[in-house]
Amino acid sequence: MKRSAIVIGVTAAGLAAVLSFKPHGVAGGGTQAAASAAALTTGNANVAGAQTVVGSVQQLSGGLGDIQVKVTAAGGRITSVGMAQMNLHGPQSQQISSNVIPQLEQQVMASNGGPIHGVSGATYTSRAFANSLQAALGQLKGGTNAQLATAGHGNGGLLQHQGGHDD
Amino acid sequence: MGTVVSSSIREDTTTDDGRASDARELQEARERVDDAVARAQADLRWVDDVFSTWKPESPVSRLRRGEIRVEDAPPEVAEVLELCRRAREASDGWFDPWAMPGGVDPTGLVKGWAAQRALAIVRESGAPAAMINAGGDVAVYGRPAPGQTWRIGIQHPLARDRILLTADLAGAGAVATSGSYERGEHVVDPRAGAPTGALLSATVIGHDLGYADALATGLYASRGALLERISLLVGYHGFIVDGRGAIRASRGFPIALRGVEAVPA
Repeated sequence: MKRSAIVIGVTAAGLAAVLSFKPHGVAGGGTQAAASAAALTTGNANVAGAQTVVGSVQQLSGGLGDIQVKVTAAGGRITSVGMAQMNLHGPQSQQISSNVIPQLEQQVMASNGGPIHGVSGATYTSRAFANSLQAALGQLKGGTNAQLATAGHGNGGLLQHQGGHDD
Repeated sequence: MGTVVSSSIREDTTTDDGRASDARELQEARERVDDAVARAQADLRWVDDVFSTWKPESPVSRLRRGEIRVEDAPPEVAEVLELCRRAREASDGWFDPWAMPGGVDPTGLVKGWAAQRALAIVRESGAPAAMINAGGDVAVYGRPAPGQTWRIGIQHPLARDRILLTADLAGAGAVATSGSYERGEHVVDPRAGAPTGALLSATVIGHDLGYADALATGLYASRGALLERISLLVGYHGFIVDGRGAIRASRGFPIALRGVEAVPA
């Protein structure tokens, strides 16, 4: 039986700033538990000994709404990154009268349950995402073994952060 | 604004014959992967420096202003423009970087192309499987665990904490989604020269993320007209969610998208 784990890293290749986040660290033990993720979380949130933290609520530019990032780590490595909440406003956010989408979704989820590894959707706004991610990483207990560095243009200082180190 | 790129890389703690890897083997594999991730990140930054239309001094910005010729830019610019020409042809002109206001703008293809390139760097490190997600455009290779396929959720365009459909990718494949729901209007109809607004989202699944990204941009701009054409492309599928929430897909589109395969594992 082959044991595998998924390790997640995040980079924001920004237009105003570049954020690179690299998980670094000790052995995770290769434990992998089944995750049933229907929400916008990628990776394995249900890993033994995992801790989940949420970042700060960040406003999206242009008054589009706000987001809050959620991070799960186990054994010194990030195992999942997702949205704790995502509230968007704007012309597209009104309810649509048609119930076509919910029906189709229900059908698909019923036939296709199981972990979701990644989500394809419209582009996240990186500044807000990066700021919330940084706040989340700062809350990981016992050191994150994570490095969050920037090579910024214009606002280089904004995202600079060193995660706690225990190596 | 920018793009968040995340990578998910499979790490095996046992060898192919089931033996637990020793500490040295694990450490060596991790170092190779970490090194590849660092190089992939550096490459993404470099691509951003060259292709950003938001940085006034980027070669592509200077090209747009007519200050330099294509030959004066890094050779990757010519490579991307050639891919853009092919995507314009394949999309019947619905993806057209030359019709954008302010000069040639390959942005609709570059994000996917850059992510596919970064994934190739990771792949060379020997990691058995990986996924890269560039702001909602996803490319994968390998299997996330033995016997499993990468399952990519396609975000519901209105209920953002929900998944509309899932695509299972066995082997190498890509999913790109274009929509107005996250960033506001940003896709221009090349035939009208103005933002399009009729669709909620357009998604394309296929072999290559650069191509899928361009086709998704074109599909969105076409308000669905490009679906016919996508039906004819081997290994590519597409669907749209229109302004009323109804879904239309390319012919032969598997409804639950189970086992959509680009290249066998």
